Amino acid sequence: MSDPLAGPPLAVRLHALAAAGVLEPAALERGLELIGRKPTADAWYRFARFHLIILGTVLVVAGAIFFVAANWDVFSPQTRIGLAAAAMAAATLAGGWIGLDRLSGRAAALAGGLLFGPLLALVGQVYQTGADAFELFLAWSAVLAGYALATRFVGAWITALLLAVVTTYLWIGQALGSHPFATPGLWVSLAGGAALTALGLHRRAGRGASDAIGAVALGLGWCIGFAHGATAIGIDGWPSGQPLALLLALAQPVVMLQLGRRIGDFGLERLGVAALFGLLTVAEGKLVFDVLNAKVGGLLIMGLLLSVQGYVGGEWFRARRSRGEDAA
Amino acid sequence: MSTRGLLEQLADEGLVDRAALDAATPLGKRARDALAGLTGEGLRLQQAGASVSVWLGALLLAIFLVEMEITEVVPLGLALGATGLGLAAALARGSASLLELQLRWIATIGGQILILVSLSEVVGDDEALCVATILLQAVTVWLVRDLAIGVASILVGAGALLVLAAELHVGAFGHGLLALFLGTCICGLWVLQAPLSARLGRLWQPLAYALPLAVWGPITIGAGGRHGSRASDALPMLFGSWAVEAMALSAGWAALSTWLMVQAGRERPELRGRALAAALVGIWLTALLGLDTPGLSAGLTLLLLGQLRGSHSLRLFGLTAIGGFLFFWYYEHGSTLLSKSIVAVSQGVLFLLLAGLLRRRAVRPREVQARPLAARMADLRWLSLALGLGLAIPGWVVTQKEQVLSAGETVLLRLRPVDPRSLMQGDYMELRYELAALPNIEAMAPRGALIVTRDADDVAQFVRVDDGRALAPGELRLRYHKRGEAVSFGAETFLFPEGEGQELEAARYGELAVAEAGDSVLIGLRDEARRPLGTRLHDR
Repeated sequence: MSDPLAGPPLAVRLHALAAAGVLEPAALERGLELIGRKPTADAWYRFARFHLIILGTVLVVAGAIFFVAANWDVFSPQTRIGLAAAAMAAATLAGGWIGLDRLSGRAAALAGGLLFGPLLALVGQVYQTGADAFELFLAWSAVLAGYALATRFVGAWITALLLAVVTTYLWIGQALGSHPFATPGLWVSLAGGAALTALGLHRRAGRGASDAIGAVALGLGWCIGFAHGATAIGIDGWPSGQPLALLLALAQPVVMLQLGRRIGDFGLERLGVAALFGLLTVAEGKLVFDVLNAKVGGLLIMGLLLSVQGYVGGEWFRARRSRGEDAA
Repeated sequence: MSTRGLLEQLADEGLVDRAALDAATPLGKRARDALAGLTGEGLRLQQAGASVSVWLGALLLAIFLVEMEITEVVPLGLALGATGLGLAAALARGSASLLELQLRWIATIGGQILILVSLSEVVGDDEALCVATILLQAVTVWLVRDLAIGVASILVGAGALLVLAAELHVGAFGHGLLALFLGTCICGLWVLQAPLSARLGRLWQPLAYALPLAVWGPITIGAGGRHGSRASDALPMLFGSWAVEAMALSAGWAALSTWLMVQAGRERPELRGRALAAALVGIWLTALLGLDTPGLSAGLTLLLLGQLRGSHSLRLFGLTAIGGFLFFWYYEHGSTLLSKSIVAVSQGVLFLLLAGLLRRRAVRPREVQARPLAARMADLRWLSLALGLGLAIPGWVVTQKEQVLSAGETVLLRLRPVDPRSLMQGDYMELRYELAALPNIEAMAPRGALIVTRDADDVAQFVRVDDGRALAPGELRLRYHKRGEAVSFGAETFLFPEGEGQELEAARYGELAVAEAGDSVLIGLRDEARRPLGTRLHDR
């Protein structure tokens, strides 16, 4: 067995040593300071400035959304639209003037992009443009993508990406009159999930696991793919499009496993295995409870199956992790 | 640096007995025992052992035993449950294999479920069962020496405490007080981590790691629990019973934040003086401006605690709590959106002013040198393009709609309304036009126009689907697109000023301006006698 003192001095280890009475309070305080768990005055300065700017911007934009939603009729509709447009222009130009290399400049410019949403919502409110919220979100994501291009701010790209996903699902319901799990909405959802997964894998392979845009795209693609796979397995009969949905849901983790092995990304492999095990669980449940119609006995069978599955997964995890660490 | 290296340095400074480094001494053995489950291999095992499959498997096995009616024989159910917990406790002594680790989870989950279901056979009310659950979690933490199981038990215990509060109908203020109590515990555990971890022993870690996760629930419930309370009007943060309670909660969270900043000043003397005073002014101004928003103050407290203890996870919990609070705050009806808007903007401006003040007053070096004017002009050019696009889209919509309003004919459509709140546009009615329920919709083109006529009161009557024939006198085109089983005229929601909902319940007709080509704009709603209702946005 390896020496327990050989690993890095993580906070959790120092806490355990203190709990066991090995480290006295003064030693724990000093130990935590030595591993950087006591921020310096400089770290406090950076923390305060970053969070004050980000939270201040978020609260001002939230306040603008609340104001628009209040639909206050003291101002005329034209005045309200004018005020919202002026706020958007002022924030955007202030961002450019302060400089996009500074956090405050980027935050102001991003606030300008975010204020486009309340502006368009206001226009919709004044002219009652109807229930098609997807149009609002589509325009918002397009404009925010423009802001993201200009500011080169990761947060803006992620917000634009999230808005685009919301737009897609609103469009499926509102314009297509469909559902993500039934054709033709299914085709759109599958294409969206595949595109997100491809974007996530591409960025992960090129920029590593710390790339935030890649992580968000991959996470969304994973969830969409898994939801489609689980639905395809669980649904009665095989309505149109479900075989393809299942095929894509199985292909997604296989690609993750392959790519993870090739580029030595263990996190990617874990995502793939989690998806495969999840789909396997749904299939087992379908077999035991639906096909075999096992009732109380089914609980026992499923309990045992899942326990064995957990053990196999655990052994795989240990084996892969050890090999990865040995190689490193 | 390794743990050994750190201990050596602490020993050099006289803070640790050198015996801790020697495996042959009792202190060295204690150090190794404490770290047995936390080595690289131990942490790998923990990750491998605690999988969703194992938890679900344990849950299903326990439900199987319950379904076999074993728990109806209460002593048998209790004995089996206690055996499960005992097995988990025995397996948790010393290091374990993967199988043993997973068996710990299975025995703990199974044992707890059997005990609780058996108890439910003899304990009548839900409150007593909640108390039993809390006590059972305490026993599990004490009995099973496994950090991950301890964290899970504390979370389940906190969840039971929340359910107990709901069962006792403590209301929004009660949940707020519960959140404040948990927040005080969290701050106490982390601020006094050195003396408390020595005093609480192995209880400190599960409590300190799990409670920040548990506090999110009561913060959110405290915010959303005011649904349906219509006691307050324009300035609820100053008047009414809720305001006093909210003020007390906000002050409580601000007091906790003050404690954290004072502690920061103790640990970093260079923060004392102006910086600390500015932080305290900021904290109390935030509480004062947001007397109605204790959830925001709670998130800020967690954020500050995360910074004080250099913990990324705690900071993330704080930011998540703030985001979650803002989302639920929008949907609660305890105060008006207008007052919420004033509160949020004033707090946001306060934060931005403080950031500016920090930049001017701090003796820290500026982040970067100012960029040359040419670079900033280039930034402005790109931003102006994006801004131009952002202003052009609403500009185009406004122009189009104004044309319809200026030239369109008035048409009334009979309707059936319902009333939710939109994601961004506030209160609205979802409109269902009787005209939209046409026969044989499947045969119609996805997009097209209906031909309608109007009676003496301007109420529209369907004539036919537009087939290109010339319009007869009195006929009008009304554009549609198909949506499921009905057709849509693009005006299926009516957004109205906050507070007008009750008046608009009398709506029976939607009033549209319809242009020659069939484009329409919803102008307002009318009652059974065709009288206009609510605020008129467009006087035609």
